[in-house]
Amino acid sequence: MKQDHEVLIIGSGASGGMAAFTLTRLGVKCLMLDAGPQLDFERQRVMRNVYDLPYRGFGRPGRFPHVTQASEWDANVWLDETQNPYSYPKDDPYYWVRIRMIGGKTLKWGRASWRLSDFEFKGKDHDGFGENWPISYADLAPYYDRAEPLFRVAGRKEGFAQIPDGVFISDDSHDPTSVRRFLDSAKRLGVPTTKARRSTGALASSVNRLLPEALATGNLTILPNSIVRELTVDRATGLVNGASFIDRVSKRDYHVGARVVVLGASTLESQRILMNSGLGGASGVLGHYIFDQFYVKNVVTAIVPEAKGGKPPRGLMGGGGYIPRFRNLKPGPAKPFIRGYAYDFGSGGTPSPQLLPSYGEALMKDLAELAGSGFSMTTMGEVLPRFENHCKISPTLKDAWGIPSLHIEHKYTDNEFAMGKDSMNTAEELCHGAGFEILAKHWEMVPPGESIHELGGCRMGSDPKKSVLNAFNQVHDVKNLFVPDGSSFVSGGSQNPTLTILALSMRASEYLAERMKRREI
Amino acid sequence: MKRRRWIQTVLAAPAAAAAAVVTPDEAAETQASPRDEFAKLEIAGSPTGNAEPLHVFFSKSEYAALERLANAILPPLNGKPGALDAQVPAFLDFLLSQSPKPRQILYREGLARIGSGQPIEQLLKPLSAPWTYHAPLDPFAKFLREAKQDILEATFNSREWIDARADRRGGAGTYYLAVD
Repeated sequence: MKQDHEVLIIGSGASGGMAAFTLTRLGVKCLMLDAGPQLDFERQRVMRNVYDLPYRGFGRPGRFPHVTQASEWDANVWLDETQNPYSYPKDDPYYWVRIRMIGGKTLKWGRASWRLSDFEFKGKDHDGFGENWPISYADLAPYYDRAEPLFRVAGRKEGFAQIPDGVFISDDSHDPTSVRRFLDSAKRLGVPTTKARRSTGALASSVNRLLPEALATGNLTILPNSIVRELTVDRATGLVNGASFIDRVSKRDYHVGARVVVLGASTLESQRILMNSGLGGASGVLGHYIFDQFYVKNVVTAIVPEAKGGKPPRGLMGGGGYIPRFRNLKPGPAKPFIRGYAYDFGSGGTPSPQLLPSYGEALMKDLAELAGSGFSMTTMGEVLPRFENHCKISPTLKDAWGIPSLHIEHKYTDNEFAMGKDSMNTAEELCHGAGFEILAKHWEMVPPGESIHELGGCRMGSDPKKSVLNAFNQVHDVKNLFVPDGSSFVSGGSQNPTLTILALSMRASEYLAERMKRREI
Repeated sequence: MKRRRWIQTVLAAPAAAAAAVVTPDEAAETQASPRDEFAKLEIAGSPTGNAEPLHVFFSKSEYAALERLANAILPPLNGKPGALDAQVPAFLDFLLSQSPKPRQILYREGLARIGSGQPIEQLLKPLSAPWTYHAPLDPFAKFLREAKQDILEATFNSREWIDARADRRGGAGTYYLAVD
């Protein structure tokens, strides 16, 4: 018997989960397809000793050539690259980091929850580069206001225009002495600082914050292990009418009919589905203007001198914080780059033995001396969306289910490199100002994609000739198809994108529900 | 089985079967026989400590060089086990047997230098150079850098090292089983 649903949601992570949460509570019947299985937290997580793991914590060699985040502990959570290959130019590796499980990457995200501002939404107005978003901060602010409490975001209100304040659990925690010294150093240099803003709780995921409430409405059915091959189209109307998918385990083919499709399979996977379906390509920009945020991990590793000796005095070490973008916010002396970068910083921990130029007894003495005295900073910088950075369907490569795979081309350019260098020099200056000793510094970025903040390629815009989606994440030329995930970003700033994806999906879903109610879709 | 029904059952049993009649207590014991249940057996979790691993990758001379290197990087100190106590060479023999080819070559060529007979202090001089983010261009210096990290990590993650820690911290964590 043919099954037709009101809304078909593809993907169960931040965008798909929020779409389900929003639509089902507004009375819309939804079917959700996810390519992966459900993780049973009670039965599929066990305590183990590292020495009882098959590879003593190293992991099976070569299992995850592009997932530096994967450890032997959680290797079974990350996507198997051999079953899901993709390609990139030989000298320009792209690290596509994926999870295929109910909840998607919200099972493992870093939880940093920052709002974008009009420095991003209206970036072109500030420096002339790229395109503005078709929405402003004021359009999205009410949705941020509702997404933050759902994910119990903790933070401190500061009044910074570049990271607008939100509805936070107030973080008034005390800063240890080393952090206070660093904050003072930043203040002297005119660099803003704040507490981290993070979703809190034992688990802050779509699987516990969004999907349970959606299921409780009785309006949601979730089908796991359903790998979408393509969206199907009613040739008479040009509208989508469902999706063909394959059962991951049996490899049996299915089709499901729907009045509307919400595609939230993640930035690159959604584009792959669109391209394999021959949809969204009218403007010629689908797949183009992909970007992420560059990371310089441990741009500076420093030592707090008073913490040396192996037993740092009480109250000296621990804690951390965040430095939001501070470059190019106001007219001033020209920098060799546009836009800006942010830092995470943390106090405590022991520097990696790799950083210490010793071995044997001398190394063990060094490690004992420096135990708990470390201070480190990581840079997260804006990557400019450029037409040349793109993804497309590979003419030859297919996944284990016979679905054509992606070829991804993404390079960083001089603007990002200049930012990286500036971030290293500024980090060093900040640490020196706090009286810390620099142990190591560099500005080498991780490969594109590794930050897992891949964005763009199916961008929003007011002009259908320059964008794929309108201001409500609706495909310009396919009115019953919405793409509310990271692919819709026009630019990304240096802020972690998940909170914005949640807000965009909530906004698009409310718009959709309203239009469905009025029978306009 | 309730006692009344059990008595009825016994009384109704034919004489031949009556010879095999057992008391209620005996019946209960029979019902609880482990052979009738899904048994949970106490078994060893891994071969570690119960069997000797075979060396499958390095040659005898390479293995000897690896032992020499491991002992120099992390000798036993202050009552703590060293890399050899933690059976690091045997573990790295296993790990390298499954590693990508370029890493296997890096190790083989590096160990050839370590086994060349030069004093170990002289050979390990590159490890005293200040750290840089970029891997050294010299393959031997690169090998030393990777081997240092591998030997330390394999030791710190060993049962011997963790058992020797007063607090036994760092040994346990949450492991995700395969999901299907």
